[in-house]
Amino acid sequence: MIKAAMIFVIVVLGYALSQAMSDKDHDPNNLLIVEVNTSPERTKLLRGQLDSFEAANPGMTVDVISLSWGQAFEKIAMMVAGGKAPDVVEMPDFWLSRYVSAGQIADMTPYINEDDFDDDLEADTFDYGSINETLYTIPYGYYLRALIYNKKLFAEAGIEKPPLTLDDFYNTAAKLSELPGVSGFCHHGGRGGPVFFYWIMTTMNGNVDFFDEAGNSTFYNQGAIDGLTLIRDIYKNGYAPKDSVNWGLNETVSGFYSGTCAMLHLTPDSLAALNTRMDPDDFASTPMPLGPSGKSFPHLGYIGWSVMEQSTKKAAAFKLVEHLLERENHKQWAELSGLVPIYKEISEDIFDEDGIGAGWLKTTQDDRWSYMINPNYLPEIAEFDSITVVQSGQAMMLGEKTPEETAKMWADFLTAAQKKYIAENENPENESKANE
Amino acid sequence: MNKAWFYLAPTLLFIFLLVLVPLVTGISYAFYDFDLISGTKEFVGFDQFKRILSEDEIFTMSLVNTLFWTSSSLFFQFTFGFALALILNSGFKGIKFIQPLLFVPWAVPSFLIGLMWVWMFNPVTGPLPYIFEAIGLMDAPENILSDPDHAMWGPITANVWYGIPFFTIMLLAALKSIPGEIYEAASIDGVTRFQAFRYITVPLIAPTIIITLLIRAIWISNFAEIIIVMTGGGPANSTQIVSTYIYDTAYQKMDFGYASVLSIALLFMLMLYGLTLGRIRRKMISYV
Repeated sequence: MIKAAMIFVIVVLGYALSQAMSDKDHDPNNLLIVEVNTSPERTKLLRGQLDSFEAANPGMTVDVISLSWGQAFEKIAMMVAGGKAPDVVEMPDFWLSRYVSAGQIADMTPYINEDDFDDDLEADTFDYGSINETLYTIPYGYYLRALIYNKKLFAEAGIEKPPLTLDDFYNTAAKLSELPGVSGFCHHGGRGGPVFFYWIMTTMNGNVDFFDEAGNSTFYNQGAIDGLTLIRDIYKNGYAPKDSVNWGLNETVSGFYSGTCAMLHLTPDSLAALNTRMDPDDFASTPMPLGPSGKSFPHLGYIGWSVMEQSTKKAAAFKLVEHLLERENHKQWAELSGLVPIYKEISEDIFDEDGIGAGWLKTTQDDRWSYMINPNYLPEIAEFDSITVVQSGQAMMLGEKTPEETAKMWADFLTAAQKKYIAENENPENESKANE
Repeated sequence: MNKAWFYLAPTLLFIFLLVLVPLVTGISYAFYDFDLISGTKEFVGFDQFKRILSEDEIFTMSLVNTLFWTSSSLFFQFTFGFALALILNSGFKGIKFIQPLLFVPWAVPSFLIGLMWVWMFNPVTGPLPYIFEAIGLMDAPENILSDPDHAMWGPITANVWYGIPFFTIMLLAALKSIPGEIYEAASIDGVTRFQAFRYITVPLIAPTIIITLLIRAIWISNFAEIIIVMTGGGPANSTQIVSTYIYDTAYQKMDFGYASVLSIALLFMLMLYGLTLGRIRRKMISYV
C-alpha cells in the first residue's frame, strides 16, 4: 500500500515537473542561453551581464546552461534534434556551416545591423559571421595567432631577434635546438593544431585564399607542398619535440613554460596560463613569420553568439546578443578572455606595444599581415579540421606519407567540398531546400 | 495457452520496449544517410556496408588495434587481478585495511582516469618517462603517447589499473566459496600446494574465470573513454579502436548512418566471440 502511494506521488510530481518545464519553454519572457567555452570566471561574468540585461528589461529572465567544450557539439546537436533548442547559443566558427546548412540558425539581418554598433567595430566583423551574405553570428572576440618566444633561451642560443621570415624561423628553430634538452618549436600536432598547417601552406603560396575561382584548392600548389615539407623537416630534424606530434594545447603550453621548446604558435587567450607560471620578462610575442612573398596569413578564428531558428522569442534573443556585445560589456569580456576585441580602440587598450601583446597588435596594424579565415561556410570543415588533418598530418610528420601525398589528399577533400558548395548555391532549387 | 501469454505480457512488453525497439531503431540507421543536425534521412540501402568492406582503411586498422587493446588489457587485468585475489584470500594480517583501498580504482570515473594518466606519461609533469628511462625502457624521457609504435600501451596501462579490482572482487568471491574441507582432504592425501592450486582451485573457479573474461572482453572492446581522453585515437590513428572510431564518426562527423554500420560490425564480432566462449564454458563445466 505504501509502495503504491509512493509510486503515485512520484508519477504526479514527475508530471507536474515536466509540465512546469514545458511551461517555461513557452514563457515568452524567459530566454535560454547555452555557453560552450566555459570557465568558472567566465560563467560568472556572463551571469553578471545577463543580470544587467534582466534589470534593463523588467520581466525578462535568462537561464544559462554551461556545457563543457569536449561534449558541447554533441549535446547541442541532441538538444536541437530533440526540439529543445536554446534561444541563444555560443557558436564557434567551424560549427556554423553545419547548423546553417541544416537551417537551424536564424538570419540576423532583419534585427541587427552595423549602425547599432560603434564606429570602431572591426570592419569585417559582419562578414566573418556571414554565409552567402546572410548574417548568422556576431563574433565576441578573435582567436588570432601570433608567435611567442622564450627570451631567455633566445639569449642563451645567442639569437638577438625573433624570426621575421620563414627562413629565419627554420634557422632559429635549428639553432635553438643546439641547446641541450631544448627544441626550437613547440609543434601542436593534436586537435586544434591544423591551423598551423593552413598558415604555412597559404603563407608559402603567398595567397590567403583556400580556393581559386574554379573552386580548386590551393593546398596542392607548389608553395603549399613546400610549406608542409618545411614543417615536416623541422620535426624530422629534431627541431620540435618528438612527442609534439600528438600535443594538444595543454601540452604545448606546458612544453613552452617548462623550457622544453622555445617558440609557440598561440592565440592570446592562452597567455593567462603562461603568466601564472613564467616571469613576464622571460617571453614576448611577435607576428607570424613572413613567407617568400613578403606576406603572412595568420589564422583568425572566432566564436560568436547566434540565435536558433527554433526560438520562438527571436526579437528578445537578438536584443540579448546586442546587449552582450555592447561596448562596456565587451570590454570586460575581452579583458577576461584575453581575445582580440571586436572594437579596435579596446584592442589598443588591452594589447600595448611594450607588453606581451606586441605581436598581436603589430599583426592587426601592419599591412604585411592579413588574416586567414577557414572556409567556415563548408559543412565538411569541422570534420576536415578535427579529424582528417589531425590524423593525416601526424602520419606525414612521422614519415608515413610524403608532404606531397598529404597536400594532394587535403586538396582533394577541400576541392570536392567547395565544388559541391558552388553547385548547391548556383542552383536556386537546392538553396531553398537547404533553407527549409 | 492464452492465459500464459497474458501473464507473460508485462515482461515481454518490457523487453520489447527497452531492448528490441532501441536495437532495431539503431540498426535501421545503417540503411540511411542520416544527419543529426538537419534531421535529414535518405534511404541508401546497403551502400554504407559496401564502404566498410571495400574502402575503409581506418576500419581495418582499428579492428587490429581493437584486438590488441582488448587482449593486452584483458591479459594484464586478469593476471594481476587473479594474483591479488590469491593474496587477499590467504588472509594475512591487516587485510581489512588494504582490501577497501585496492578497490578504489574501480570507483574513479573513466574520464578522470584518462586525464590522470595523460599527465603521468607527460615528461613535463609526470614521473613515468623518467622511470622508463632509468630502467632502460627508453633512451630519453619521452611521452609514450606520441610514439605511434607504442602509444597504445598508454591507454592499456590506465585500463589495467582501472580493471584489476573487478577481477579481484569476482575471483575472491569464487575462491571464498571453495569449501576448506577439500583442501584439508587433499593435504592428508599428500598433495603439494601447486597441485592443490592446479587440481582444486582452478577447476572450481573456472566457470567464474570464463564468465568474467567474457564480460570484461566485451566491456573493454566497447570502452572508448580512456582512449578518447588520452590520445584521441592518434598519433596517426595508431590508437584508434572500433569504438573510438564509431564515436568520431557519430559525434565529430555527425554521420550516424555510417556509425551505425560500424556498430553493427562490432556487435557481430562480439556475438561471435560470446558464442565461442559460451561453448568453451559448457565444456569446462562438464569436465568438472
